Amino acid sequence: MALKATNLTVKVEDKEILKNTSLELNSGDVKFLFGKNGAGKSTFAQAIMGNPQFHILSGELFVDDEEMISTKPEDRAKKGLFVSFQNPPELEGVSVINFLHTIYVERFGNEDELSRSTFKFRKHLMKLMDIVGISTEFLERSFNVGFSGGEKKRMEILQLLLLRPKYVILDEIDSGLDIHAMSMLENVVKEMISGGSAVLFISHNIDLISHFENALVSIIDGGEITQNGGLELVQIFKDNSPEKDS
Amino acid sequence: MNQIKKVKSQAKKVLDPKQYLDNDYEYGFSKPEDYSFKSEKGLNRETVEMISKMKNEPEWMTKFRLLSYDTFTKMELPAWAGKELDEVDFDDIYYFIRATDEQGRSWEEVPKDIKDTFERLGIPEAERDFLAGVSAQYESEVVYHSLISELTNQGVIFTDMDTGLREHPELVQKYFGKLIPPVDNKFAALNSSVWSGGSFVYIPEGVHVQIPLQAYFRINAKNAGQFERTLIIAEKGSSVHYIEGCTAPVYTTNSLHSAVVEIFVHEDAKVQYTTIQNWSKNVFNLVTKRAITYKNASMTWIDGNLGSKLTMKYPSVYLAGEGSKGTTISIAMAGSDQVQDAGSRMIHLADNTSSEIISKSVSKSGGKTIYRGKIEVRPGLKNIKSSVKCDALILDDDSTSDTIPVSDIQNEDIEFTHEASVSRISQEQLNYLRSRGIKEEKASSMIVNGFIETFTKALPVEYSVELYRLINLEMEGSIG
Repeated sequence: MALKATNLTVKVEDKEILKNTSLELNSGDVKFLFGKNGAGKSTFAQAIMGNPQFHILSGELFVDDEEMISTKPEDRAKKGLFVSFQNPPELEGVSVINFLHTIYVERFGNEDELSRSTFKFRKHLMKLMDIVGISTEFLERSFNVGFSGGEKKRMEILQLLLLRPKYVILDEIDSGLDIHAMSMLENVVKEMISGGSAVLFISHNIDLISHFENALVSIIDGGEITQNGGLELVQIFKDNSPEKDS
Repeated sequence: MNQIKKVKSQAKKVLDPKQYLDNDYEYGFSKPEDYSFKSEKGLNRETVEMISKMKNEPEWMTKFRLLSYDTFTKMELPAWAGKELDEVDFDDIYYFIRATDEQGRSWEEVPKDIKDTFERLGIPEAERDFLAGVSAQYESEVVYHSLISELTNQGVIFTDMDTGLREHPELVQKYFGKLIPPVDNKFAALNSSVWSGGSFVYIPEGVHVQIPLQAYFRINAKNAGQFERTLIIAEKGSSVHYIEGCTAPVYTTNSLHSAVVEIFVHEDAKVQYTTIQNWSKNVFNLVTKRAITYKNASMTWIDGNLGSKLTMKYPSVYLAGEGSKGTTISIAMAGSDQVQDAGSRMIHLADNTSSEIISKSVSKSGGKTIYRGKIEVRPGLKNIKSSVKCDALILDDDSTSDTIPVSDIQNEDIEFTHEASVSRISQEQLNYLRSRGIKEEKASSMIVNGFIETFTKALPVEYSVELYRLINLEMEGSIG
């Protein structure tokens, strides 16, 4: 079971951002995609998700041997793909519970026990909110409206727990999270991995990787994957990167 | 409690997205016309006299109608009105139709033909399970009317306007046409001369009506003008919530709906008037709604405009008593070939009065929304507060939205705020929702429903469910 992107060339507006980019994510993998600003990390995430503003000119994308390029983002989500957003939008007038229940029903269908019972769903959600560290007072608030950066990120992690996606790309999920939230994130990811999910971190935070023993690493530069390997690549990336954590 | 439970279960049923998507929902059905009486097309003094005679009205009403007719013939259309109004052909309209001779006393007695139509609109269930009293207007006269006995025992009157005039002539004469005289505007004059049906509501001193009073209006004859007349009187310290909802079948020729609503909110009384207007897309909906508030009274207009070809409606509050309050929360949704020209007027006539207008509009598929509002504060008044907030959401490049606010404030002791915004559904929001498994069309509906949430929250449960369903239906096919 795997997500396989092969030789993806992706254009945004008139600019080619990714060139023949290939990346594989197998069930149980924790992978880090490192690269400088503008290297094409977020473009990769959005192209995989099917964001219509990112045009895939050539290449292949398979999820569990199913071709994905011709499918819509909503269908990819149903196949178990999940990309966390760097700047998740605000949804005025759409309550957190309404939003989360809607996406839950989309993922698991009308017949699911929690889809059918709002009461049970709420109870389940409150447990997950406790894990993620969000007060249940947020349930009735408009989604992300007036939330801090950290709260918005926690909302993304909450969705991970709720939707249990198979292939997860976490795009800068760690920015804006404090040390407690980071440790919560680590636990959530580890639990998902043991459940058979695969997680790809897009991050500048090299320290995060030290928490995952068998983490894989890919380095992206100028829209191309230049190296694939393990933790040994961290030092190389660190040495070549003028950037500090931001 | 039982009532609440029932409504909730109904809400759940309707909210199941599969159900309404699979449902062949169409308001474009109509029933064969079967009327016991139909006046000739067009309007003249004889028709007006005949209407009054057929209804056995007192002489003063006949005179009032005739005077109004004269006013109507002399008055011009409002100078600021758009050219869309030119399409109204006053000579091509039936001014009086009686759907059945007898008024239904219970649901079982309502003619099957009419009942079927209501059932297809989902009205009976809401009525049987929840409503306290309904006067559902089919054509120009009320065919069905009921009111629970507790309210009657408390002295509450909730009846159709014709019956109101027959049974409470002094009360009607005291208030009728006093807030909106025929000379107010051409359509008020027209309504005053040919009015038929509508509701008469009287709430005695100190009585709080806990459950909303509801009435449904619809048009179901080619060129049938509907000119209902509603009069609500809330005596000192009383309160009531009146709900009016409209749906109508689709016809190819233009229909005219021109109503007048007058509301008197006496000292310390509270009235809320809720409308969800969903006339078919060929109806001209030209309505004059006005309330007057006395000392410490409060008036709230909850005004939703989804249907019609052209709506021109600006619910007003004349804040005549010290410490009184006026609120309007409105939404307008304009699709292809629709113009929603709506807003609100607040006229401050006394000290310590406050007003608030929240107006939301959505235009799509070439539709046009206009917010037209007025805040007027008479000179020398003290401690006036007023806030206006209008937000427009435009869904595509073919659609437009205008804001025409007028403030006539001859005063310094006022706290006045006016905010306006125009926005579009952002690509980021759509991408986000889609990446979470929500189809584009549904994602747009979700954003639109979120945008009008302030309005939806002000509605009773079953209405917010109905509105949610209507918005989703409106949004179907508006993408791509």
